[in-house]
Amino acid sequence: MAEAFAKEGSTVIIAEIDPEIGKKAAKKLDVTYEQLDVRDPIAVKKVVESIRDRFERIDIWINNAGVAHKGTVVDLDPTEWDTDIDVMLNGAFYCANQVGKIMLEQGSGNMINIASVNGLLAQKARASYCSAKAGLIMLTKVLASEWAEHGVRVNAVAPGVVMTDLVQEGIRKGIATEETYLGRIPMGRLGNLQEVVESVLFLANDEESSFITGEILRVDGGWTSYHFYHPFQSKS
Amino acid sequence: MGELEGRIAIVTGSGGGIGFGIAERLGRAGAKVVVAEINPATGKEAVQQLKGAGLKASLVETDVCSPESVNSLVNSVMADYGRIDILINNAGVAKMGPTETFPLDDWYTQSDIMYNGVFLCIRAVGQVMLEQRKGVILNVCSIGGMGAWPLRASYNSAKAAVISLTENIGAEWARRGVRVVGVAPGVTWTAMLKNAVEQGFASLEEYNSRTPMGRVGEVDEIASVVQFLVSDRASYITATVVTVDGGWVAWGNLPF
Repeated sequence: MAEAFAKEGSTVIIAEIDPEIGKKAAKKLDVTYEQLDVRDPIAVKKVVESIRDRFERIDIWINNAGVAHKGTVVDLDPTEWDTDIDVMLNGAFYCANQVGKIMLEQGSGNMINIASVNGLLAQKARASYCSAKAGLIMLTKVLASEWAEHGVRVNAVAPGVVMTDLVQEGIRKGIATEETYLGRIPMGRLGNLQEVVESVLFLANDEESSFITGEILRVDGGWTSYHFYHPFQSKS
Repeated sequence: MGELEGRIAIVTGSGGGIGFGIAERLGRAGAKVVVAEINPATGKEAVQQLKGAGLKASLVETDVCSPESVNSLVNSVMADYGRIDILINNAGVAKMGPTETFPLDDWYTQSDIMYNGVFLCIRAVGQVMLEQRKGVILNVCSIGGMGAWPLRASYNSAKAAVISLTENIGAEWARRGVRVVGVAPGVTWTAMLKNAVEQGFASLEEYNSRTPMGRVGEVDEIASVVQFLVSDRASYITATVVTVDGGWVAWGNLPF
């Protein structure tokens, strides 16, 4: 995503908790890096203010940071639950809380939250992830309602299963199988990163999506609309 | 070069309103637009305007309620171009009034144009697209199809049906190269809206204050989303409807 926005001419700030990963990515794209743990409201305030001081404005903010702990509700450790809610829901709130002040003052801005089909449909052993993403979806709608009249749009994308390192790792560890995913997805294939990026760029573009706010854009190959789990034949 | 360069796009009901806006936008993105319109006068005018702007457009007079008319639309486009890349099901009418005295003719007309007509077009064009193993169908739905409004049971239930068609057929054809998507515009400034306001079914002030953005949408704000959804940028989006409503359905409509 950062790469795509840089390519489109945006001034990109990579806000990442892990300095090693963050610096490497920033160096590759020749953009700014800010160390940020979104779970810490004071750190969020500092980083947001430093970005404003340096660049004078914030046009686009993407809440993307995420983690996923796996475990049924009776097995999940409360600290694991807390971490997921902290990163994906509380963190997004802390960022909105600070970035919102700037965007409202500007009278313009776009916030985009990276939700998930798991915020719309339940998955077993993913209570913390699903609940955090569902919370993020409602936060998107409340923010949109509050900020619309001030010229700030807030939307989310809900990707389906996309071939990321996390998904690849799950398949390698035997937690998930690619075949099961394919049977569950009407399009019969996983999404790719570029397909999610295109939707984020679209939502960030005031020329194209100026009347869209409070929307959860599903980029899922038909996943969430498909309710009868009867695997498709592999080729039809 | 536009991102839809050379694609063949049928837009039903594109003699005016949102349909014309979509035709214009797709034309500007490089598509060859087929104006499928029941009213020859508005249809001709639309094609003239599009051509006048340097866009590629032709008229096929079409009644979406008639299977014969829809078949001849498909045959005529196939004879001219040999394929169909994009179908926009946009044709609609707005019949409003109290349910207990709602004229039966209005009920049947409305569901014929807005529900049966969409099915007929999807079925006929779908046969071509499935054979091509490629194509995008976009249905113009409405936020009316997502909730209740007094005096609009007929319009809104037809639009709800179209949302369901989008999801069902989108899932059914997803592996065969055909995407089916929708947009659900909120209140949009068209001649249809102007009529509704003039007939006293609603006031612009009420619409504005019901919309978090504080205003109704412009036709091109709907058309730009349509362009995105039918383009290759939306290749993993299917069986879903994108709401374009200034925040209308997201907001629970309590003023405090």
